[in-house]
Amino acid sequence: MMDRTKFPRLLFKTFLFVMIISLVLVPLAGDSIGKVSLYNWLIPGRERLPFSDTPELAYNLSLFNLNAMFASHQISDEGCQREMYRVIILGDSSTWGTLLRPEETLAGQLNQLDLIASDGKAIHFYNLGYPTMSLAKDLLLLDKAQKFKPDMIVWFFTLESFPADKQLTSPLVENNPESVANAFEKYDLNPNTYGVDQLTISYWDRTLFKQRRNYADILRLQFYGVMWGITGIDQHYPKESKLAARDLTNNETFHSWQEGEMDASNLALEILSAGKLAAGSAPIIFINEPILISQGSNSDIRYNFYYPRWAYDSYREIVRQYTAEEEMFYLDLWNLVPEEEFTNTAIHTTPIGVRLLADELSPYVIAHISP
Amino acid sequence: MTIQEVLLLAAISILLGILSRKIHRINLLMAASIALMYWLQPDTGLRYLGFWLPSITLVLITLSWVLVTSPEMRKMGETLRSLFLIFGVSFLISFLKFLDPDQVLGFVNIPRFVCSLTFLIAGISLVFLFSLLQKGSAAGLWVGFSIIIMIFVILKTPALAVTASRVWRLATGHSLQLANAEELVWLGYSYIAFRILHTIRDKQAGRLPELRLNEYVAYLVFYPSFVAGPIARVVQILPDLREIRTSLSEDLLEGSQRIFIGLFKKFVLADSLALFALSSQNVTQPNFPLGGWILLYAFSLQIYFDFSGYTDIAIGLARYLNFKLPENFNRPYLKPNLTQFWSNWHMTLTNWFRAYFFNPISRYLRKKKTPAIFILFITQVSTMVLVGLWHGITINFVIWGLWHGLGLLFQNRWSDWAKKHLPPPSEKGYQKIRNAVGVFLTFHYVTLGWIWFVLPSPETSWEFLALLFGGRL
Repeated sequence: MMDRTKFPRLLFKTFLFVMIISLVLVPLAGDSIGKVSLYNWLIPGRERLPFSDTPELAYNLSLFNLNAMFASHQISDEGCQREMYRVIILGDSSTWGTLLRPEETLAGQLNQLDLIASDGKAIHFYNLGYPTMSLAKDLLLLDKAQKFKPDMIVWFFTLESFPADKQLTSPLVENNPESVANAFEKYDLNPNTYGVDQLTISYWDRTLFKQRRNYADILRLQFYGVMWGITGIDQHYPKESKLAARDLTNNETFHSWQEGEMDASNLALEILSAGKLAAGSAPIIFINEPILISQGSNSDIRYNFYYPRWAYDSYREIVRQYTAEEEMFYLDLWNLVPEEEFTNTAIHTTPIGVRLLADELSPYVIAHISP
Repeated sequence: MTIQEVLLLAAISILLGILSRKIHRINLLMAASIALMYWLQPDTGLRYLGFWLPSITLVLITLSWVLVTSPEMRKMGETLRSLFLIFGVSFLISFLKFLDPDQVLGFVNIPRFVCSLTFLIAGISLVFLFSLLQKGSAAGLWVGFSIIIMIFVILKTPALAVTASRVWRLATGHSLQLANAEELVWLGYSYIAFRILHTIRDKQAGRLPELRLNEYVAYLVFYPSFVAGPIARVVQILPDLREIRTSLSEDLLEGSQRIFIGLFKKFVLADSLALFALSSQNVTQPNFPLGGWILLYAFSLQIYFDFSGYTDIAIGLARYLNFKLPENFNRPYLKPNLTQFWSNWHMTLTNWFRAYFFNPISRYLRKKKTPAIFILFITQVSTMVLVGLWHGITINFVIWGLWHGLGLLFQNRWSDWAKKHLPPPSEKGYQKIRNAVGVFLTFHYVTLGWIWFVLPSPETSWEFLALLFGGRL
C-alpha cells in the first residue's frame, strides 16, 4: 500500500516545477528559443520565409518568432556565406511568390540566371519577401537580416504598403512589438507616428501560458521541415484559382481619400529612408513593383482592384520625388508585366511575368553590387 | 479525442472514482458510461444519427444480455429498475435539447422530445418482453451473433456503408447524392461488437459467469475503453466492478502517471509524427527513396504511439475508477520475430482472435486429421486476414492480413529449420547479435506491411513500395 502523503507531495512538486518553467525560465529565454532549429543542419533551409494558412497541405505555417523564421531560411546556412555576393529581396506576397514554386519566384529565377559580378564572384539571391503589405514589416525583416551582412538589398513595394495606418496591421509587426520598437529607435523613426509606442508586451505575455502557441508553432515548423526536405513543397497550389478582377467598380476612393487628398504626409516614406540607413554601406535598390493594368470595365477610373488611377499616379510621382531628393536608387517598374501575366491578385504574376522582372532587374544588380 | 476531452474525462473519472467508493458503484458507472457514450459520439452530419447510434447500441447490448443470461438471472423487479436507469439516461439527455440549445455541453443531434420518449417506452418494453419470452435457446445466440457481425460488415464495407447512409438520408430527407461511407461514424461499435461476441461465444461454451443487467451494460460501455480498447474480457472486469481493491491515493497516483504517459505519447509524439507520416495525401510527393522511408518510419512510429497512447489513457482513466484494465502493448517493435510481435501488439485483440477463431479452427482441423502444415497455413493466414478485415473490408486490409499471415507462417518454418540446422546460441554475444538482427528484420517487415494499411489502393501501395527501392511513382 502506498504512503497516503505521497500523492499530495507529488502534486505539489509537479505544480512547482510547471510554475518555475512557465513563469521564470520561459520569460528568461524570450525569443531566443527560435534560434534552435533543425533547418540548415538536418533538413535543408527553406527558400522563403515560412508562411501558410493551410499547413497540412503546404507543409509550412505562419508563425511570428522572427528567430525561428530566419533560422528556417537558407540565408542562415553558414556553409555558403562568403564565397558569393548575397543579395536579399524584400517585398510582399508577390516577392514571396504566392502560387509560385520556390524556383519560380523572383529570387529563384534570378538564381537560375547565374549572375556574376564584375569581379567574377557569383551573386546569390535570398527571398525575404513576406505576404503582407507594410513597409514597417519590410523594415523589421531588413533589420533582422542585417546579421547576415547582405551585400545588396532589393526592396519591392507598392502603394498599398505605404498608408500610415497600414504599418502595424501586418501580424508579423503586431506580434513583434519589441523588435519593431527597437528598429524604429535604431533608424530614427518617431514611434508615435504609426502607434508603435502603443504596442506593448507585459510579463504575463512572456510566460509559457501566453507563449505556448508560439512554442508549438516553432516545433511544428521543424516537423514540417521534414516534409519540405522530402518533397520540396512549401505552399498549397490549388488546382484552380480565380483570376484577379479585370472588370472594376467605379469607386474612386483610396483608403477613404478622395482625389487630390493624397500627399507625401499620408505615406510612410521615411521608412524607406530608415531602410537606407539600415542597409549601411550595402547598396539598396528601391522598386515600385509591377501591377495589373486592367482593360476591363471602369478601367478608365481604376487600374485594378486596389488602385484608382488618380491615387496610383499621385503615389508614383510622390515616390519618384522623394527618392530623388533622398538620393535613392529607384526603379519604377509598375507597367512592366502585361495584363495576361497576372494571376489571382493585381500584384501576383505568373512565372513568365516574374521572368520579365528578373531580366529587367539583373543588369542593375550587376552594375550596383560592390566588388 | 482532443486533449481537452481527455482532461475532462480525467476530472470526471476522479469524481466518479471517489463517489463510486461510497454509493451504488455499478449503477453509477453504468449511467456515467452511457451518458459519456452519447457525449463522445461525433456529429455525423446526418440528422439525429449522432443520438440514435448510441441508442441502438443500448438496445443491442440489453438484448444481447437477455441472450447470454439464464432466465433465473432475469429477476423482474431488478431488470426493470436497470432498464429504467439505462434508457432513462438516454431520455434525460434528450432534455438537453431544451436546457442546452446551443450544445455547449457537447451532446449533438438530439431528436424531438416525442421521439426520445417513444424510444424510452419502446426500448424498455422490447427488452422486457424479450426477456420474458427468451428461454435461453441456442438458436437465439447464433441469431444475435449474426446480427452483430452483419452490422459490423455494413459499417466496414465502403459500398454497404454508402448504401446504409443513403437509406438514412432517404428516411430523414437528406440529399442522396451526398451519401458517403465516412459519415456513418458509429463510435466504439468495433469494440462493443467484440465484447458482445465474446460473451455470446463464452455463453455457448458454458464459460460465461452469470451477470446482472447493470453489470453487463457497465462492462460493455465502460467508457475508459469504449473508444479504443483494450478489449477486456468480462472476467477481467467483473471483480473490479463488484469490489474496491486498492486505495484512492494509489489509484490517483498510478492513474495519473499512466495518463501523463498516454498524453505524451498521443499528443506530443504521435501528433508530431503525423505531420510527416505516410498518408494518401503525401504518398506521391517524395522526391527520392530515402524520403519515402522517412514517411514510412514516421507512420510506423506514429501508429504505435497513437494507439498505445490511447491505451495508456484508457488504463489510467480506469485506474481512477479502481479498475485494472489489461495491457495492450509491450514494446512490440523490440521483439525479435513476428510471432512475438503479435503477442505484444494490440494484445487484447490478438488474444480475442486466438481464443475465438484461431484455437477453435485449429482444433477442428486437427480433428479432421489435416496435415500440420496446412493447419498452420489456414489458421495463420485466415486469422490475420480477419484481423485485417476488422480494420475495414477493403482489398488493402486483406493484403495487409496476408502479409502478416504469410510472414508468421514463414517465420514458424524458419524457426523450425533453424532449430534443427543452426548451432544453438551458446554465447551471450552471439545471442545478442541474433536478437538484434531479428528485431531489425521484424520491425522492417511490420513497417513495410503498414503500406497496405495506410494507403487506399493496392496500385498506390505497390508504387510506393517500388519508390522505396528506387523505382519511380
